[in-house]
Amino acid sequence: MTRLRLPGRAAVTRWPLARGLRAQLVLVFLLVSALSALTAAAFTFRQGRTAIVERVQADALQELRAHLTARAPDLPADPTEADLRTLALQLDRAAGTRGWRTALSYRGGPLITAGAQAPPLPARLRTQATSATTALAQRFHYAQTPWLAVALPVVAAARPQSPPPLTVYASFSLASQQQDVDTLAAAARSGALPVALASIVLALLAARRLLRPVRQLRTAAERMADGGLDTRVNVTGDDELADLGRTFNTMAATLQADAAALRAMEARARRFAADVSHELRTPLAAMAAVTEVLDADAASGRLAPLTAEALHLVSDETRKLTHLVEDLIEVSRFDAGAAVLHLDEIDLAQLIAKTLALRHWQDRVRTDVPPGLRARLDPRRVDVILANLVGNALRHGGTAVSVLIRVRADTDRISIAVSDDGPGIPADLLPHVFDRFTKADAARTRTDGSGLGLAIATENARLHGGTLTAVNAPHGGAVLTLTLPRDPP
Amino acid sequence: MPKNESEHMPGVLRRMAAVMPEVLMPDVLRRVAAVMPRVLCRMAAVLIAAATLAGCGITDTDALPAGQPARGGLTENSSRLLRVYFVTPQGTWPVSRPASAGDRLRQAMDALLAGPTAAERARGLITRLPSATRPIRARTTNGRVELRLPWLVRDLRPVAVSQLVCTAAAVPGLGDDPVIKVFEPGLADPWPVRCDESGSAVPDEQGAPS
Repeated sequence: MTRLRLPGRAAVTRWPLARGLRAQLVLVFLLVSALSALTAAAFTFRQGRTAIVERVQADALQELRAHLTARAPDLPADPTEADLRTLALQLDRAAGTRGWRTALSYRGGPLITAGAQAPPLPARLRTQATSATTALAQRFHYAQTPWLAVALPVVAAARPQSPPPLTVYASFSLASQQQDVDTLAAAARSGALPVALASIVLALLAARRLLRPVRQLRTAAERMADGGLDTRVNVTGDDELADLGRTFNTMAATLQADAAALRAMEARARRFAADVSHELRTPLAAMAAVTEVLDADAASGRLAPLTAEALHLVSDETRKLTHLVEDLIEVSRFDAGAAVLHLDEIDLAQLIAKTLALRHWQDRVRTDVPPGLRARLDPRRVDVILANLVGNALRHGGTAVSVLIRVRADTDRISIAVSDDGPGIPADLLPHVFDRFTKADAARTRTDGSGLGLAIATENARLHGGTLTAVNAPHGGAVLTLTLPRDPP
Repeated sequence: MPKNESEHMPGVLRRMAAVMPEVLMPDVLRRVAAVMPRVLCRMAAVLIAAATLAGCGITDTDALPAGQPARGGLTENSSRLLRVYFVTPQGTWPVSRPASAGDRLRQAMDALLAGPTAAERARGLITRLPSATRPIRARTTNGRVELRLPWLVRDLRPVAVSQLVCTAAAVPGLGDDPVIKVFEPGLADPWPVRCDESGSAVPDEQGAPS
């Protein structure tokens, strides 16, 4: 019987993947939605900001240009400072809500303003405006506030190709635009967060929907691993997971059918063995009775020596056959689950002594049993086990074998070790010692044992909830240990 | 003989366990899924960094071209121009007109009384002077301008007085900041008035109004 592997456990250890999948799904969902929300918000915001700023710049320039176009034709070719100041005043008064302040520079001269204070102008704009032939605009920060400065050259009407003699500067604060942009940014930010949160909810829903069938399949697989072959999963939908579910169901059905067929075959085989054994027992009983009579005859010496020997052989084999059939019946009882324990409070030393005395082994076997050790066990079955172990040791250990029964007890287990100083068990045989019809010497097929002794001993030990193990002692000889729980089931 | 059916299970289940993730996430998808968070993270980081670094405010720029220059007069010298003050929404504004030979003051006063031309009106210039049956008599004596008005000053709007005074003061040859004596019909004493920097008539403090 191969050791029971635990495929269910193996599968379970791989299943953190399910949690991983959910986490990955949520993460990917979150990232995608956050990315798209952020991108959309960022692009919208940047477009909005550009629109706001460019609009104010275009409007301001257009207004300034309109006012300048309306006034500049009256400027003489040699404007006095008063002329320029009057123009600056006109332009300042035309500022309207923008509140721009203007300054004029004639032929690169100093700035002339209507008021006492010149408007803030970035140096870069001034240097570029002296040689510029187009209007210039520059945004800059002045006193932590964004400002817009424009430089608008005025060309002489008569000489439009020559460098513009007059440059009009205007600058104004973009504080109100900054407020608009801040509002826009706040709106973009407050829009992106709920989208990201909503995407988490969606991701969880999607993950749930996707992973529910996976969880079902896992649960079903685990249930099957625990022997529930009638497990099926509910298959809904028509996707890959549904396909997987259908495949699983098909597999489960096949497995169940196979298992049922196997079980039926096994049951038939066992019943057959049991029936054969029972059928053989009655004629064998009769044969045994007859052979006893014949044995007595042979022993009396009234028969020819050859006939007596033949009779002896027949009675011997009949006994062995009876023994074998009895063992077989015992094994079938175990297989059918019909074996039951009859527990009794027993003194172990007495039990072992009785076992040895019954078989006249008390001279050949030494014992090491704590006196007064009592245990709850089925004395008949323990007797069978001990007889098997000791019988085997005596049989295989050689003629001058020394067998020792050593009993040790702790709080919950009692171990009974039967050791000998014989040749031990061959290494290749050691794993199969307790299998049915295993014999130590393959060449010598005809032995006294039925080949079922240790198998029956094992079944008896298992019935007690105990174990039977076989090892070779380091200094030679075999050690077979029966371990029984002090409180059997 | 096996008593427990689970003995048949290992192979099948192992295959199932191997197949299930395969079905859920084909190889390519799994690789994509493994790489995607990293890529997405990087993209998101770049985007967030860009969004925050760019700042949510208005950014500074270089001095950038912003259209054609404006076109204006700047052709005739002031000596050949007649400066006549009309009114814009932003105050008085001296209009330039070509001057002809002769008495500049008279020409200016006539032009003032005639009002802005159509082109000047189109540029937003108006006059606040009422129409008059008689002309404004103006003359220069000893470098001082005397204006004899056909109206009483109190009947005129202040801006109209500014028009009169500043037009008279703008006549060349009167020196810097001349004082204009304004005579009203029926009143003997003139008002000494000047034209200030903003093009408004102000009483002359130094003069002795009587």
